[in-house]
Amino acid sequence: MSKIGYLIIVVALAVAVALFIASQRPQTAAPQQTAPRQHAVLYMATTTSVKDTGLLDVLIPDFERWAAERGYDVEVRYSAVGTGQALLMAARGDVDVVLVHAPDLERRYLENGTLKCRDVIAYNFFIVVGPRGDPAGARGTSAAEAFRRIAEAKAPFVSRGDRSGTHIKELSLWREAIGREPDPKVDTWYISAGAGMGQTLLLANEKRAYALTDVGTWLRYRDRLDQLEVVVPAAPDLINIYSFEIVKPSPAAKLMAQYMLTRGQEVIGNLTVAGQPLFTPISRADPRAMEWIKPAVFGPSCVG
Amino acid sequence: MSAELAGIVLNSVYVSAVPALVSAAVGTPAALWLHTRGGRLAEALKALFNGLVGIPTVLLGLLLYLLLARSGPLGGLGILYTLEAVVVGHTLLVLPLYLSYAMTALDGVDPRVRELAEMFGLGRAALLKIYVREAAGGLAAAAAAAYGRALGELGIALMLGGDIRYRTRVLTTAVAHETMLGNWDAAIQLGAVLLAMAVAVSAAVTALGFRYRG
Repeated sequence: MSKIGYLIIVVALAVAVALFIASQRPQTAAPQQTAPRQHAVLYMATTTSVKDTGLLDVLIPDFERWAAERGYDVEVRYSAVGTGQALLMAARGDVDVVLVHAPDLERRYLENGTLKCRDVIAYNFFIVVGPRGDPAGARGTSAAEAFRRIAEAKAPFVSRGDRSGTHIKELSLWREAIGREPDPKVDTWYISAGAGMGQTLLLANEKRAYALTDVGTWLRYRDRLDQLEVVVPAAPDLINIYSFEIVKPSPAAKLMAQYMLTRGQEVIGNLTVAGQPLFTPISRADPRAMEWIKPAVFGPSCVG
Repeated sequence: MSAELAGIVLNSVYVSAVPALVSAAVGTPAALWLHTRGGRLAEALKALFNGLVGIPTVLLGLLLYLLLARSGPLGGLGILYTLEAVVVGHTLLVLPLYLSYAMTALDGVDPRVRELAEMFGLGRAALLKIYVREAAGGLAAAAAAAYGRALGELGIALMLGGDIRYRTRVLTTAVAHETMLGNWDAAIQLGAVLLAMAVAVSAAVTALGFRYRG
């Protein structure tokens, strides 16, 4: 290498060292000043219904503001998948908190230690929707009876097929209705979409098919679903319970749990489409619904 | 799983081989016509096809979705969320690619071929036949590229096919699905099959090309 080459390297190193020292100085010079706010990033896994309804769009910015008012700089990064995947991500340690809706599955993850604590925060209902004209004659029955008639008529049915809370509920309804889970390979009327709730409804609309959906996503998408209507409305056995859980305890995670049961309740209750609420916060549950929710309240609370 | 995998592979072959074959069947005469015609129109069209090679697939998917949706102008066909819709989308996607490559291959044919043919008083049909024979390697490579592009395409397969299990699930949408479910082993295996299918065809075409040249 030429002399000029060595010179350039030496000068570059000198500049780098000088910059390094300069950058260190303010921190060592001012240790007495108030400690800088801790910037915490909270990773969250949740379900597509919570995202497709637009709840996360209002809940997360509001939580971040609420936390900032209390002197916490928290940033939430979420990924909306099905409940099954969200809990798998929790088990792998990829997320700090989850917001899901499959109590039976949650119980298992609580028992194996993946979830440290759990609070029911809101509920709504599942409904069965289907094509106008109701070709399977499923209207005016219970969900299980509707499913039995759909299977009997071999009317097209779109399943989430993605291990989400809605999919898990749907499979349990099939077991109740026809004693087994439909097999998309043999039962050609059974369409396994592998998609989120919103896309599943759009697919059902295209195929003029039946589907199980949560009421929130249905209300949010209804004006785009001109081929579909409600076949089985909200009923006690179709209650859909959402809960918040901490996977990795931290001050930020605990703060979010607190928010979910205080200010967040208001935000959840205020989310409406055409005047209809998408979710009922647990603080506003009527006594009758509370009876249906009771079996799904278990595990240590994340607050207090 | 193996029976399901076979179905997924067959679906993938269907939505990539058919568009590639249709492109070759439609694109070869079109490219020949444009090449022998020459002039500004051919140059302009070639530039257009070159540009369309890079069309964002989600855009093509969106336009076709709006066309084929029940509320869209072609909604009556009822082909949204079927493999046929994916075939249509992929054909539109790879036809410009085939044309662009085919015209480049024809440009590579020795211009003296044409002079010789005229000297011997050969007809137009005979001339075109010579062109195809001379550019065969390039045309096969163009078809292989079209096949590879359609095989590895995700956006259109997802938007127009819908990733319906046993029905419209293809290798790329299956990889995406398994990855999202966290089944990384299954996703990697499907990815390996996808890679093998892409490499096998281009290797076969290359081998044929070598043999052809002697």
